[in-house]
Amino acid sequence: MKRKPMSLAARSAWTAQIFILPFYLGFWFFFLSPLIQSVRMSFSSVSVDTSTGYVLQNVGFDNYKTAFLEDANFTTNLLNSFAKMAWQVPVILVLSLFLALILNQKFHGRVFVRAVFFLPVIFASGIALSMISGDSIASTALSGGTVSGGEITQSSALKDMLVNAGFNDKIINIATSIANSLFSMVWRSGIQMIIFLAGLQSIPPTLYEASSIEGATSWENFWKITLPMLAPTIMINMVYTIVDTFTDSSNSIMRQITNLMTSQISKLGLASAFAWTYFLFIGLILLAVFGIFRLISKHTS
Amino acid sequence: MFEATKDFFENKKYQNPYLMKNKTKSFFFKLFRLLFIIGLSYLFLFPLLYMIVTAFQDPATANDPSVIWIPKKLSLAGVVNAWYCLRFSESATLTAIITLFGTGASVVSCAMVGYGFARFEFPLKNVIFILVILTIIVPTQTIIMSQYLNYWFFDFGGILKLIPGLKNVNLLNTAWVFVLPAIFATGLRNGLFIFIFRQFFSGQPKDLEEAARIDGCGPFKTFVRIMVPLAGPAFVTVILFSVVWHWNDYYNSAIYFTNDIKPVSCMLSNLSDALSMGSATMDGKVLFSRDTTRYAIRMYLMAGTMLSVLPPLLLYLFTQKFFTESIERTGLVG
Repeated sequence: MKRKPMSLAARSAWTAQIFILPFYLGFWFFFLSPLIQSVRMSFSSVSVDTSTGYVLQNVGFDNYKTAFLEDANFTTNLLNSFAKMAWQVPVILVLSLFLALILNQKFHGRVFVRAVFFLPVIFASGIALSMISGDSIASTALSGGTVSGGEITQSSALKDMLVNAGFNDKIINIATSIANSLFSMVWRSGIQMIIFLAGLQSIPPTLYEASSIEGATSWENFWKITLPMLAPTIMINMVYTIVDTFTDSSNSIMRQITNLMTSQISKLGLASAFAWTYFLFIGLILLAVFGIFRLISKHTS
Repeated sequence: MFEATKDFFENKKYQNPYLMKNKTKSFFFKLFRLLFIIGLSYLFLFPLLYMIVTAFQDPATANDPSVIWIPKKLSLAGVVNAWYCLRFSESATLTAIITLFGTGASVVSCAMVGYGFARFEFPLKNVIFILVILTIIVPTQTIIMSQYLNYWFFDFGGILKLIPGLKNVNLLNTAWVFVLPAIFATGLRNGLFIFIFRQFFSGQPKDLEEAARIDGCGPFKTFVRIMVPLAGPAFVTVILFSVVWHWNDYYNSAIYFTNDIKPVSCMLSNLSDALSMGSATMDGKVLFSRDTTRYAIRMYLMAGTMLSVLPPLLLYLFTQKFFTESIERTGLVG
């Protein structure tokens, strides 16, 4: 039997499908179908019979009702994690951009400094960091306190300064908590720093040359060239940081979900309801971020 | 990035009195930068040094407040004890198997998928790539609960049921919970790896592939023989990320592993919990009791932490130069 040979485009399209085939299968079996199932679980009560399998029984909106109306901690934890995100994401973004700008310059000993600055990428994802930062002496020494005679005295220089300057309590609390968590912020900006570094290197050097000949200073170059050219990179980093902050396993709400899951199988339905509520909020925030960046890019172009 | 500017200023031909003013300015800028770099390096190196120093302290002098950096007496007690509590030889073997096979499978599948997206045109390509982005964005905790049940009663979407006598298998507590999705490019952070490979492959010139095609090389042979050897930097980046993330993974491991032997990160977290309760026993032997000082507790914990970060740290030290160079050349973002 003789077949009509396929066109080049059609053949290329079919070859591509073979390359991507693993992802199609994985997406269905390990992503989409568990996702659909977890929606069903959030509307059911789950029971397990070890010999045959698990059974889902529809209970309507009961799990969501429990989450919002009965559980004492859920709504507070939810709001807390949002408040935390609202100040952590900008701080991490600015810090990582700053680190990337330093690393992107040429200076002596740059190889060593790079090796040191990339260390967070190796540890930040692990439990090791929380062990070290959870160690009271280590974290006090880092946030500027002093260790004397085995007793820890928290440094309050910053606090005194702000009190004297006449700021109100709320601002002082925010400022001191930023200073105290600077350590974990710097350590969590590793991946973002790498992404920014790659973004910085993709900016054509001719732009800087042209503007310098016109008499622009480095400061002007930063605001007029570097920052606008980094807009897509900033968006990628923002999305990454938001997702990362939310799924951090030390997060109070993540901890609540994990505890619920590991305590009792029958609580899996409720845990799914928690997770979905949480995810929908994250989704809304991400959509807002995408929307804002689309507006900005429309405005500038 | 400021190289062009700097060269311009340093070039004698262009130097005029107006531009000379920048010299004092740049001196202060350099001093400022140096101070920042020293400060930040301290912030990054401090935990490492602190961990190593604390781990090797002698239990008897561990609460000596005059000891900050150099221990008066070195001791292996902390390390030996932590090794025992973490059941390090068993848990590290388990973690090594997860890391090795998980990374291997992720790298192969993601390179293939990334190449498919980078080099071929097909209908709805952008829509399908959004699905990849979706696997990055949707947080693990939304699907992990149903995944837990699926792995417990695993039947591969009903395929295993077709084989008579076989209903389902329990994959919990095995390395399969990491390796199986990795084979299908949906394992730990695989969306990001697909993204990196796609960026890398689309940045390569097409000439080599076309030459290979003209010489009669099929698309798969072209991929394996021409493109994979070229993609060294991308492979280094992805392998290092994947090894580190598999080794350090806590969230997935804590849920999928319910036996006594868990991956190292979970064992470490258990040790920390046991220590904060004030006592720990294992196989009937009392390891710590209420009168263990908090300094000794700190020592044991740091020794355990040191053991758990040692493998990725060693890998990083050996591949560090290669890694930092490849990050520059991979072009993670467009």
